[in-house]
Amino acid sequence: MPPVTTSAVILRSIEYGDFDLIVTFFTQAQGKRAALAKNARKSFKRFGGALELFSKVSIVYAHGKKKGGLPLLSESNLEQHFSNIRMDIHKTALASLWAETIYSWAEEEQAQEEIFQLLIRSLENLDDEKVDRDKVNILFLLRFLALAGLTPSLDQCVLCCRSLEDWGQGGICFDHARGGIVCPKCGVCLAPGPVLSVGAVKQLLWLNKGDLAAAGRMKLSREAMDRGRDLLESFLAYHLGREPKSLRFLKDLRRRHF
Amino acid sequence: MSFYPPSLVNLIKQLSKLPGIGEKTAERLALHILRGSVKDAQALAESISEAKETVRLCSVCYGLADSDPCHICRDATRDQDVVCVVEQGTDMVALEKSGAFKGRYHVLQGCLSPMNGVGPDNLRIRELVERLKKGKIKEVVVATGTSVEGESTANYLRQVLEGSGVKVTRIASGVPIGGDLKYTDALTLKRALDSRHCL
Repeated sequence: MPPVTTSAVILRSIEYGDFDLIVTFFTQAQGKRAALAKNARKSFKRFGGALELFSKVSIVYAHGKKKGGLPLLSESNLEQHFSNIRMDIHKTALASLWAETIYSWAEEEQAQEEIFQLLIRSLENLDDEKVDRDKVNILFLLRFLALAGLTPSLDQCVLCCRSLEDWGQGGICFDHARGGIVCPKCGVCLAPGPVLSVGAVKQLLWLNKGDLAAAGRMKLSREAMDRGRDLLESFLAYHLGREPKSLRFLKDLRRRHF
Repeated sequence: MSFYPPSLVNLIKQLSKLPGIGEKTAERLALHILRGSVKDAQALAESISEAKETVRLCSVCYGLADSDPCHICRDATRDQDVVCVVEQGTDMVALEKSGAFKGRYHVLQGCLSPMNGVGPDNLRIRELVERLKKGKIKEVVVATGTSVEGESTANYLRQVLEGSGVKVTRIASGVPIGGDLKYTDALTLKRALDSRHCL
């Protein structure tokens, strides 16, 4: 296999032996790829700071002589380092949640350009100190779920298709198994998620219509933000089949008011 | 393997359990031990079992020690006002080798790692806060690593220790001695320039 040169975001890095690292990238050209970075821990000159989590890097890798082994990383150059993310534990936890989600979801060697661009844009926005990190998280989750073919149905009942506009006020049940909201007339949820108010669901729908610039201008109630976030995170965990470790960490941070 | 006597096979098996040691290396080590004197072999066996029995975590700094408190925490000549927070005992050893720090230490036993599920309760952060409450410490030097996890742990500590009345500082990061600027990454260079000083 000829060497592959591509842009990538570092999703995960684990120590291998005494001197090496196995680094998992989300590459633009080949989707999720793991590569062996030989001597990465032994020599700072070898890769420098270009193997740090969540960094956007330009990498070159190729398969070694052994068949079926991991490709060897021959070069990694830093393109964007997102230095504000690493200075804030809450932002680090959010970036970890996104990286863990993509790590769990993406298939090896399947390029997913839209998810790659979403991850880069979301990291850029999270790195921007003027942008509300919770809005960036909600937008990432909404967009990721849509790209993964799991858009939650929020504008009408998943059973009777009655529009949200006709429901009146009151609590709304979100059904994870059916992938959307269930109106009070249709009754019980199969796999109940968080209960939301009509207002919170409407604000989530408005947020989904625009980009981050539009979302930044939008005034959302704290309740809508928290409930919307909880809904999307629990919906994501439901489809991943487990709660990501980063999500557990994030919930713990929120409990400590960080 | 079956050509060797069972006791030697057992030794090879035990040695190959060590990190980075495969069966061939274990075989070489085992044969080396056999070739050496009985005294050397006994000294090796005794040092392993002695270390295993006596080495514990110091109840003050949580570094490795064979007495409690450890020799650093007991040393009255060291600066009692300054505590250096490190991730692992090996980081403490590296700082001691440098000879640049004469205060006390606090070993966190890791750093925060969301993806590995390592949260504040898994580290010795509560113990650090309790230590500071005793009132003798005036400065905490955060010497966690410069990886994403190390940096965010440092930031978390800064937030936790805010309002404790203790000065919290962070070790500098930048170009290493003998480092070549053209091979240095952008973030390291930015840090180096941010923390430049007058000559």
